[in-house]
Formats: sequence, C-alpha cells, structure tokens
Amino acid sequence: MANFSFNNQSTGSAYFVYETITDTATGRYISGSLKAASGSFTNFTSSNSNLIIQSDYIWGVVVLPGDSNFDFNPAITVPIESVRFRGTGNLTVTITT
Amino acid sequence: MATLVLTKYNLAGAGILNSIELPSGGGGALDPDAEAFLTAATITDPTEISAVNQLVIDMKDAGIWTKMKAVYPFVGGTSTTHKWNLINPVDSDAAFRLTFNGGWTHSSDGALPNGTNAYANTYLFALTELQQFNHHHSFYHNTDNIGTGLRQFGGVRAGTNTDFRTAIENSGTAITFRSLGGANGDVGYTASTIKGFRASSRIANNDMFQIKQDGTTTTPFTTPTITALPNYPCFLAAFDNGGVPQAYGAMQVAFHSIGDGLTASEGLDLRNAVQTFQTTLGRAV
Repeated sequence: MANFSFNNQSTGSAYFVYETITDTATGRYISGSLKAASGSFTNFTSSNSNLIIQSDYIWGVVVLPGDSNFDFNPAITVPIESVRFRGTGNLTVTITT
Repeated sequence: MATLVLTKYNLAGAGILNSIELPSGGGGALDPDAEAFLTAATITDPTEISAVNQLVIDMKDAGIWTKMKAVYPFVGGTSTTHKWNLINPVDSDAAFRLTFNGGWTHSSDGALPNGTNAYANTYLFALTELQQFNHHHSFYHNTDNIGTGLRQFGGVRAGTNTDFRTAIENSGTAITFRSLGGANGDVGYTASTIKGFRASSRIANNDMFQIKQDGTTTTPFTTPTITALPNYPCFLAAFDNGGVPQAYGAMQVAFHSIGDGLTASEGLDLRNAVQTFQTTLGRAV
C-alpha cells in the first residue's frame, strides 16, 4: 500500500499520472508487462474515485486545488524504477509506503 | 516505511521513475489474474483465495509466470473447480481447461486418479503450443500410491523420439523418477521420497534435467534427441500415446504446470512457490 498525498498550489486543477514502464523493444505494453497500476484506491481525503481513470498499466487523477490524498493498494509489489510519475501544474506529491 | 517527495520539476516532461518500492496489498486488492481465476472457478474460501493470489504473485515476482501455458492449482475440491487453468480461466479446450475421464476422486487435497482408467485431457497440443527444445511440465503429488511398473505423471508421445512425459517406475526393488525425452533422453534418478514437487525441463536440444522435490536438479542429460513434439494433447495421470491414454498413474495430484523450459534457478523458484501454496492450503508434504 502507498499513500499519495497531493498539494496543488495552482488556481485550477493539476493532473498526476502513474504509468508502468513499457517494453523496451516495442515501446508498448505486451503480454507479460507488469500490471503495476492494477489495484484499488481507498481512504480518500479531499478527493474521490471519480477523479481517477485507471487501467492495469496506467492510472491518472485530477488533483483539485489545495491538499488531498488517498491510498493506492497495488495488486502486485511494484519494483523500483518500474513506473513513471508525471504531472502538470504547481503540484507536489508525497508518496509514503 | 519509505517516503518520496516529487515537485513540479520532477513531474514535468518525461517525469521521474519510482525510487521506492510500492508494496502490494492493503485494501483487499487481488492480483487481477488470480482474481479472474477465482471468479471463474467460484472459489470463495478465504484461505484458497489467499493461497492462489500469493501463488500468482510469487510466480510473477520470479519471472516465470509468462513461461506458463497451463497451471492447474486444484482448489475448490470438485471436478468443476479443479478443471480451470489459472493462466487462462476460460471454459474451453482452447484455454486448456481440463476434462477428467475415468475414475477420479476430487477433494480439498487434490484430484486422485484410480490408476486403472483415469486421466485428464489438457487439450494442450505439444507440437503447436510448446517449443521443440524448450519446454517443461511439473507436478505436485501428495499421496504415494505408485503402483507397479511404469506409471505416468503425464505427457504425450507419438512414436520414436517424440517423448514429452514424466513417469515413476517401481521395479519392486527401486523407485525411479524418469523423464522420457526421446532417444538417449531417459533422465532418471532414484529417490526415497515419492511425494512432493517434481518437474522435467528441457532448455536446449542437449540440455534436459529433472527438478527434484527439494528444488535441486539432476545432472543435465546432454544427449537426448527429440525429432519433433507430438501433434497430440498432453494428458495428466497417464500419457497420450498417439491419442490413446496409457500407463495410468494413481498418485493424487495437487498442482500441475506445462510451459516453456525452466532453468535450474527458475525450477527452484517454481518449487518454492508451489510448496508455499500447498503449505497455506494445509496439504503440503
């Protein structure tokens, strides 16, 4: 389980994306690619599941202004350097395991 | 506990890779492949759910999940629940769903063939589904009714030098586990322990070995010859001899897998994952 805590200092929404690393040879998700984004979201504070779009490989969330957080419970253990975090806006993200 | 703080500078552009591991679990999440199997097989027992989920996680963590064509965990205690392939839990021959033939007794400990006419058809045709010089199958038995003579754990054959099968042979004075892999390919060893995990693996034309109950391997047999894999399906508890089941086994099976060849290290990983699985279910030997 990992807690994702957001601080959005923008006047509007920011965006955060969690994406599994693609296959090096093809740049795609192939059979056997890690489903690092598979799992459940719980314990929302100032956020909710309607703000999240999820597949087995990628999930993204609309981050409202101010502070918010939730828990992401991966279906598998996500190894180091297997997912990429991206975001837009004046956003700070704290991930705690 | 670990903490990672990302600023807008880290997140911009190409972003940043995770420098901390994210542990699985919490919130009741199941591995999606495990969940698909458990749903198809209508498994509701919490212990079986946890065991299957962990088995999938362990196999994926070991990097052997994608080597599997078929995995049969034998949970649920009935022929209806035992038939499902964990890799592709669809009720069809093409998904390698098992069909049990003859006299089987199903329980929470596994599936027990009667040694007379019982066998299961995997519908996994060796010629088209496996690679000629790269394949394996594994078994976990938790009873020791081995019978006499040569009794097959499973596999297929269609003439000389086409063998993909593993058997146990009781000569009356010795009990030998044999992997029959074509000309000069009869890899065997004598063991005092009959029950538990066994696997036969070929990772090259000249490299075939057995993985023993403790996860160690036999000395690789370097001169086996196999001209082709048979265009017949693999059977369980017997071998498919050109479409005819033969050499019926009588040992209760609690796990079976078929797939690409496993290295010695991968064989040990599979053995450990299966042993943990059986221990959780309370049927380890």
